[in-house]
Amino acid sequence: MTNKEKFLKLVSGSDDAFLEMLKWNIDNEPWLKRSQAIAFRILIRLKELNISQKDLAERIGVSPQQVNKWVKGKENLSLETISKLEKALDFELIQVTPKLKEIEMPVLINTNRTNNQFIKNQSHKFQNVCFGDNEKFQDKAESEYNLAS
Amino acid sequence: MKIVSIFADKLFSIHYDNESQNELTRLIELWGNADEIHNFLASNVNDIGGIDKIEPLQDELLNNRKTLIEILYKIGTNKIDINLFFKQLNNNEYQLNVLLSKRKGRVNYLRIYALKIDENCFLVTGGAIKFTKLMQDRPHTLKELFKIEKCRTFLMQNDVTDVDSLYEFLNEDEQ
Repeated sequence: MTNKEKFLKLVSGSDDAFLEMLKWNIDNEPWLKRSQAIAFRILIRLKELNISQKDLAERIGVSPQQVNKWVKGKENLSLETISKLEKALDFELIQVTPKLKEIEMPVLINTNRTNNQFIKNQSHKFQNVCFGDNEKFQDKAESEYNLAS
Repeated sequence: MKIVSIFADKLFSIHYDNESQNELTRLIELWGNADEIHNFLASNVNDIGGIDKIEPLQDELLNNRKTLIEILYKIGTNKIDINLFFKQLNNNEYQLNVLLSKRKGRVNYLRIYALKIDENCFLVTGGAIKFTKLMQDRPHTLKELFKIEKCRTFLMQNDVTDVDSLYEFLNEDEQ
């Protein structure tokens, strides 16, 4: 048996731990990223308020070790915990995006001459806003994008 | 100082006596620690171009770590050739067969330092977040230069110069 074979027999199975750790990080990346973002916000807010992690722990009524865990950005924080932190820091840590308003769009199926004219007018308006009223640009746009006339 | 197997026959890491984890595991943990990253940036504010850069760099470093993890996972699952990741640390090293060549694996600001034991076989000696051009420019990167040199000397003293002598050494160490 070669040295390599002997060694691989000795360490058989023990290498899996590192690969599993990597996989765990890949699989849990979406919430870990948020936890880290919250941790950064807490750390910046602590500096703004000029208070320590220990002070924050006292305000919430938890141990300093618990706060230290939170600011590492590896904890799966509950909404309850986040709310407590927000209250203690007088600062919003997460924001839920408001529902986007539905934007009325013209129906562009079964285009006839009227619709095509509408699109052309709209595109000219857009181009005038962005680039100014340039005849050459209009010609180029019409030929390249084949705007119907 | 111990040598720990990371990916069986191609990646190993040093475990220093004063650390609780081997270097590669320690670095992955360290660079995922928001508190550590924030403090590191705050204490190196002159190297990053001012206090305003702390917030964007926090995100940048976490993204670098994510990429590093993906690369290491692909190396571990044989989807990336490990030789492509570890490049020469010394830009003037042009010879192909330098004994225990010093190497670096780079993902933007993150560095993993290693020694090339043999073709397809590397030993991680440490790593750092690097914002300056030269390793000699800052104490934390200079420390990594000392570490890699110390490990190289350690291997030479134990007659580890290629993959077979490494396994011979590791077998003796395990027994």
